[in-house]
Amino acid sequence: MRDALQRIALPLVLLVGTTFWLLPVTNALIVLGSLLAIVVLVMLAGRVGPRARTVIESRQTRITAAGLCLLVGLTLPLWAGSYGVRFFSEMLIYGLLAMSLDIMLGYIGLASFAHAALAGIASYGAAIALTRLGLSPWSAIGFALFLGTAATTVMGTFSVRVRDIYFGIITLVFGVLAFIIASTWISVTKGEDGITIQLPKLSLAGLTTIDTRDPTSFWYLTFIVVVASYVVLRQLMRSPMGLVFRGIRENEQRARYLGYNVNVYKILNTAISGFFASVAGVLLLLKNGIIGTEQMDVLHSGEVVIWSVIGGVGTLVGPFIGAAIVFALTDYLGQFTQRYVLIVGLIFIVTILLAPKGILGALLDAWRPAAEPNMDKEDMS
Amino acid sequence: MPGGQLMHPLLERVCVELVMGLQNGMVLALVAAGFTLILGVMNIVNFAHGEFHMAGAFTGWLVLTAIAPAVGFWGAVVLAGVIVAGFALVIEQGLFASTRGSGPFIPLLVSFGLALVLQQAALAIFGTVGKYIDPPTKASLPFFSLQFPVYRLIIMGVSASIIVALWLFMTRTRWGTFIRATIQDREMAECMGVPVPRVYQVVFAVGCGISAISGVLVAPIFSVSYSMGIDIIVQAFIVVVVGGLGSLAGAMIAALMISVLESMASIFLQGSQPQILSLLVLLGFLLFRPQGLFGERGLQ
Repeated sequence: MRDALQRIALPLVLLVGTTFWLLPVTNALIVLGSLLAIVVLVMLAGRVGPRARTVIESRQTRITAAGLCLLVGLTLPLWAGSYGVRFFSEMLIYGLLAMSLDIMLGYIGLASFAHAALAGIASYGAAIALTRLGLSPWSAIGFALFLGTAATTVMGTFSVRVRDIYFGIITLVFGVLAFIIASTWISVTKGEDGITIQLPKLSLAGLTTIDTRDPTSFWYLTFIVVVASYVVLRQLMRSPMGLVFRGIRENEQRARYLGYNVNVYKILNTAISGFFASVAGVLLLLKNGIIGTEQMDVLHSGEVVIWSVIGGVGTLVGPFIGAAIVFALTDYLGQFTQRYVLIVGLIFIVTILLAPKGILGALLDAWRPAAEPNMDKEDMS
Repeated sequence: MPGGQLMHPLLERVCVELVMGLQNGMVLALVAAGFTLILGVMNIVNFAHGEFHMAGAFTGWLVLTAIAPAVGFWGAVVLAGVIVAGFALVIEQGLFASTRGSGPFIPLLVSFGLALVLQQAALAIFGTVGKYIDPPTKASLPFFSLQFPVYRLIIMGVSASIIVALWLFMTRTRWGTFIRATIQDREMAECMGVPVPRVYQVVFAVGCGISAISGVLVAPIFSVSYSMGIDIIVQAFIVVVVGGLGSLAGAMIAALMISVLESMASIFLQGSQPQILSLLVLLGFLLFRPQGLFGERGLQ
């Protein structure tokens, strides 16, 4: 305990200091109090011991949890109000973006510092296809997903040529490249102003249409897409391919000796991650109706990393929880200051130093039975 | 000659850009040197290195406008270097010391978080409007038909002296030997009595201090703003990869190369488009020579 406090002393002091500097005293106390509450809750939950894991892992608990999520999701427009519906739609989209990053960060051990920019490329793709190329909504979405995935694959192909810790550098450089292109190629991207689209109506095989201008319809669209993405990603990460990813993360050399073409798997992993980042990008465009250079900023890509790490990488659910918590916090802080990333960034540093595996990772570690320390490594999903 | 022109205007422009590029390259080399040193010794990819450059520029501006205007420009350069080095020492102790032995990934994330925090802190304290520092001399030399500011030549001289001093420090002093030993084999160095934790502190403080000094040096040319850290760190990344990760000499040469290239390209291209060109150079290197110019260690 004292050891942990010593480790985080500097960022903790800075965090408390900046919170009181940027927020009014009562609000600063509320923020710090809630953070403390989260830490205490995680510690208490950890104390419950290995028994919690058996409960968590039982089929019944899982079905109940999934059922509850579906129930909350499907009834949300009835009780959340129109602001709430928009708020939770955005939260879900960011959760999806964080999950897509987790495929790289948590499952194969590659850092991408360009994920918001990659989502942004898909947004630009859809916006350009809708306004310039005059494609139908569905083909515009298809074009956007293709563009985003292709851009990510190119990034991955270049980045795997250096060792893993330098991978992050190259992705950051790619993110900056995307930002420069978006802000200087004005004839296509309209520079700082961004591209505004008319929110389309998506027809579903002629049966019904989804009007993306209507918050409730958009909520259902987002909810279904995000849940489907989660299910697909979960299955993919449990497939033999997903196991190879994790094998590479644990010991790249051994995976190579076993005959796996590590670089091909890394590029494949990046492409999958990029596809789901693109899905998030398209949803974001449909929500906002505008895509500008702001989305391409390194700062936003950094935020995606922050969400994932705080929640706990390598679990899919963790980054989602992280995105939800930080998004809610950001929304609250945004009322008082534009410099909310200052506070969020310090929370991020404290989290890495205190619990490198994030909130969910710390819980799973605490719940792991002492007798079998290496079983089921950090995978609850 | 018509109109007293000694040279073709384009050729003249090329000469000017060549000198400007070399000068930018020298400054970039200072930042890249610290970055490579920290990477080589501590195995930390220091995303926040550019933010120390920015912190140096702001510290210099603060010293000149508020704290001690009497010290003059060169006093501010030295003071900023010392203050930021001290700050870096605190950061190293408070953030990075406890991540030792946990692999390279956690320090990488910490330094990335630190970069965001420092950038946002600068925004919160100083706002978005750039600050200006007067150059110590406004004299200029006739350069063909143009006037070339003497200050840019001074920057080149100062940067070159710092690089030479760093080289002498690395090769001729006890601590330089410690540092080189740690780069080669940390455990063996520790066994031979090299105080590795102290080496880490020295390297981090010196690397960030140099980065800060370069920040004050360029302050009279560009305005001092919160975004100067991210701008220079991207260039430094390119330089370090092109030069060969961990190679100090490679970083120097690549810094000059990239800067001259961007300078030359600015004759024909506008805005930040020259930067795209150096990104393309980086991609070319990744494809055909991923170990960089002087990379001895295999990167794969």
